[in-house]
Amino acid sequence: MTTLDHATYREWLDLEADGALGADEAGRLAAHLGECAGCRAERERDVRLREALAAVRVEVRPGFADAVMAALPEAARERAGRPVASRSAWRWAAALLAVLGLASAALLGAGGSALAGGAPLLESLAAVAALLGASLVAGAGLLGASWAGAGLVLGELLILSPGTAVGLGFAVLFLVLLAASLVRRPRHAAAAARPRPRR
Amino acid sequence: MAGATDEELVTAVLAGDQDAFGDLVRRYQGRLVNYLVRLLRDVDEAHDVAQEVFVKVYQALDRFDPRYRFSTWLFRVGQNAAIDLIRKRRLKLVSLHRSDDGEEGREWELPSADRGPYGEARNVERGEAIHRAIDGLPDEYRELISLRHFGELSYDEIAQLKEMPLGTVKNKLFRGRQMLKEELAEYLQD
Repeated sequence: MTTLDHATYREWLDLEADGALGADEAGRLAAHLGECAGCRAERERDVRLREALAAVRVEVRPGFADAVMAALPEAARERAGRPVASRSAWRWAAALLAVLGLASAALLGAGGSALAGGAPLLESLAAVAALLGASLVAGAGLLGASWAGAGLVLGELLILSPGTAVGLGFAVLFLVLLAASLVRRPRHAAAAARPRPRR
Repeated sequence: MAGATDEELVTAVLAGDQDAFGDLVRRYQGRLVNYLVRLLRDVDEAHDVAQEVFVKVYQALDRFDPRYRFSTWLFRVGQNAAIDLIRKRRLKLVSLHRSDDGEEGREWELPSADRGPYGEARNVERGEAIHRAIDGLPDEYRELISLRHFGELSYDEIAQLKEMPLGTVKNKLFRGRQMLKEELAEYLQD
């Protein structure tokens, strides 16, 4: 066994106080401490330093963990990347539509009864439904016409200027990808947390 | 799930067990808060930042890479959050006082648990002396001392967090503590 200098023993003392000294070194250190008053005194100082450092630690506020857990439901929704109010917003929109429909039907019914002497409410409701149906058909027709128009324009472009058409295609693809990435990104800037530690 | 490892708790949270995250919070709250107190010098702010850090980590949990330790990830997020706050404080100080005086002049805001005016004063004095001694260390030692003695991270965890060889961590901690023993000699006597 080689003889070690005090500097090495001091390093071992430091590791021992942290519970990070290997068994072999611990045995050699114990043997040295039996015969070295200076290292025994150093060991005392190591222990006191750790006690002093531990003494300035603060107690965690009572209820801290509960406060964190209470903040999580909101965080969970944000983690899922869904807008918090989206579902309720749809419900409100549907409710508003229903109220408007009923109000329109009631007004039509009241107006009709005043003119014709008692048109039933059901007929008015049917009229509103027919109106909504006609709107849907008209909307679908408009959409179809738009697509047909766009097809015609693209066809013309492909014949007259294929380069422009290809460029336009890339531009549309880029916009779609951009929109998709925006939709997938969580609203909260969790990425700022840099969650992945580097090696 | 008190005996579960951090990684098992993370898996449980991702499977929908939100209470498992509570176990992680309770496991790390004291260590994270104390580490943040060291960095921010303010107990209340440290609690606020610690809460934000836990929420951030929860939000990003599905991106946690199980090859790494949860503790090092948590402390990295905490360190980043504290650095952000310190930067904001400096900006505020500069804009309010047109001064460049940042953290160096900031007083420690620490509570005292000791009873009686004499004991309290002595405790506060000793606490301030310890924090001043740590503040006086070179950056590379101060940071590791804070992680080890306030964050209570193991040598391995510090090595992973700081991307340093284990031997370097041990060496820097040893040197930092030697300096502290010299600086705090009067408080470490009988």
